[in-house]
Amino acid sequence: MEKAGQGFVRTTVILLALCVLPVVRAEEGIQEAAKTLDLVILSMGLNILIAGTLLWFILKHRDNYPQNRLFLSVIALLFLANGVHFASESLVQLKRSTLSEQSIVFLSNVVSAMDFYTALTFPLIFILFPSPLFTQRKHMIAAGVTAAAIYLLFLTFIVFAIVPMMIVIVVLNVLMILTFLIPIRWYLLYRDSPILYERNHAIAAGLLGVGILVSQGMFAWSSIFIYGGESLVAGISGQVAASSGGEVSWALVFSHARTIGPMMFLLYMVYKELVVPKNYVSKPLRFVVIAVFFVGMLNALVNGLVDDPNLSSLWEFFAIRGTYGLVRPLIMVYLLLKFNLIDMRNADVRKVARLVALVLISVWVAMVFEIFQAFLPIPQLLSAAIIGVVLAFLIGWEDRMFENVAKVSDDTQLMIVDEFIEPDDVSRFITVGLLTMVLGCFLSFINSGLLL
Amino acid sequence: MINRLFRLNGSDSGGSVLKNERRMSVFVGLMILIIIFDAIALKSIDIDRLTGSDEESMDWELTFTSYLESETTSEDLSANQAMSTSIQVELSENEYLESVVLRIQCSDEDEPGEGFSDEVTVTTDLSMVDGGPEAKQETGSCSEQSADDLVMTWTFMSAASVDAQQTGMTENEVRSLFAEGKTGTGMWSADIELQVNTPGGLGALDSGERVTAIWELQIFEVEFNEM
Repeated sequence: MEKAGQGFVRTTVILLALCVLPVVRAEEGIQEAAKTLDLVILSMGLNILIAGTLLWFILKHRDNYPQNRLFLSVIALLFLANGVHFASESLVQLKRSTLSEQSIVFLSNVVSAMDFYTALTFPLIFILFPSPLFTQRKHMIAAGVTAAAIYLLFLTFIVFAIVPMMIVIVVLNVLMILTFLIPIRWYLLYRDSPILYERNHAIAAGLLGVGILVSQGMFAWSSIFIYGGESLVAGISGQVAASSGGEVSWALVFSHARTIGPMMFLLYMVYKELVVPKNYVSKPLRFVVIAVFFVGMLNALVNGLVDDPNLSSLWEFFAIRGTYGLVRPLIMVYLLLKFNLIDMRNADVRKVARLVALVLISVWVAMVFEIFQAFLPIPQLLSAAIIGVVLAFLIGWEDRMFENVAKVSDDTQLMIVDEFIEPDDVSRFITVGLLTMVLGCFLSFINSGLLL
Repeated sequence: MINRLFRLNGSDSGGSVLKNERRMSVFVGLMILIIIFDAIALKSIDIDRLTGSDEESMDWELTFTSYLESETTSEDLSANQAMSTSIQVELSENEYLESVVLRIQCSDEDEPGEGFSDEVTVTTDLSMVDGGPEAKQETGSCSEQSADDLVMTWTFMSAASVDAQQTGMTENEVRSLFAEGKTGTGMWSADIELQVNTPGGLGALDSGERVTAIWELQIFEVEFNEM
């Protein structure tokens, strides 16, 4: 009876996807091409959805390993910061004409502050996954406090212009270069280890590395030797000024240096995933690294050949900024399910995880088609029909995909450190993380001139 | 304490750290070499090759020129008859749309007396307009006293909302400040229907009116001058 009920619900969802979605999309009008604003809003929704769900998992289900809950909390904070980033950006784009100049500056500062916040969650993520680098609570506390202190201290330096911006950029980039070596080391150590348990760590680190570092120059791997000049240099589209006193600024040099580790990591992974023995192959990792490699190649072609500024800016959004809106959530959710970071033995958790996976699929497909529509403005009715069909298939296959990814087996085992932290430490960590985020927004408020 | 899986393979397993950590040593060594090579290449490269002239941050002085474009359609409509009117909005590279106004005139000058009141209902179709401005439907009475019997306005952006002097920005960044003014292009259409109200069915006394639709496009052009 229950099975029949599930079948009915599934059939209804597929039919709705096939019939309702094309109609709704067609209603949007044939002339409407996708804008970056649509993507920003969809990214905001996706990131906040994942952050909220993870926080629910962490706070509601305390029987999971504290180590996993702590990692989930860092990921939740990362997605929350990305969500705030996209929310501020969409507000700026939507209300530019009605908001005051200072409000625009404030929102733009929040965007930068959240960028900085996410950058400082990267070290914590790498410290905690695939297995914690530290086995003692005091060391983990020190790492968390150091990250929060660096964030607030450097933001204060920037806001009150206490030290030259150049010093801030150099110190932060050196810090990032060092922390990016953590997943690289996991991968180099164990990718072709004969022990499956060790290999799992390398595969997890590889996927995590792509998920996080994809926004740190992986798509610009072709610029590793600066052969093309111009916009092929990774970091040129960032926040640092490209020129200083008529020559290339040191800020740009250091920003580019930060991306060299991720670029080399990608190229090594592409090589390794193609030559690794057949019984060691990880299909998802091989697919992801090869896909990123080819997008990087396309990125070089677009930057080198396309003169149309509209197309270039759309590509810039997709290839550079869209990465942490689109690719990162997908890889992170895959990691969480694959390596059982969410306690999937609990039936309630499993139900919610499945529901979130469905919503994630829907939002993700909509985003991909917004991008598709942006580059190839095919008639809305046609794209709507394609979305309906794709979504129907994905939802239809969701059951099999979900079970396949979320199953517990030998290739999902990672090291669990006993008595790593106290269970209550997770809530404390989230509180400190949120407080730090709020303080960052407040410093942005001060920096906008609304207070001083 | 460092996780045993991540610890450096040095003294425990015998031999030097460099030897036991061959892959990591080679990776880090190569990375440092590439960083040095790229730093030298970047510092010696011609800045124009790297940034392009339009990508360089500089100070800008903006000059605004506003002008009005209008298009008029006129038809004699009988009772409950409708007319269509449309305008194609196109903008050149430096032009931005401030507002679009649709004015309807239908002065009821042949009105013989009380109870004879004509009305126009305007329904706009903006599905072919970029940026999704809101379509409207409004009704106005054809009054002798007012020049315009119905006015519909869509505002996009005001030139005054952007400071005429911008500092430390690339040309693309300055242009992005006017993004709102680049929406509103496409085909603006409206259907206008005349309703003639006569007491007691005295249609012969007041059978129709001349209805005039005027589209007004307020456009401003920006000149980007390097300071």
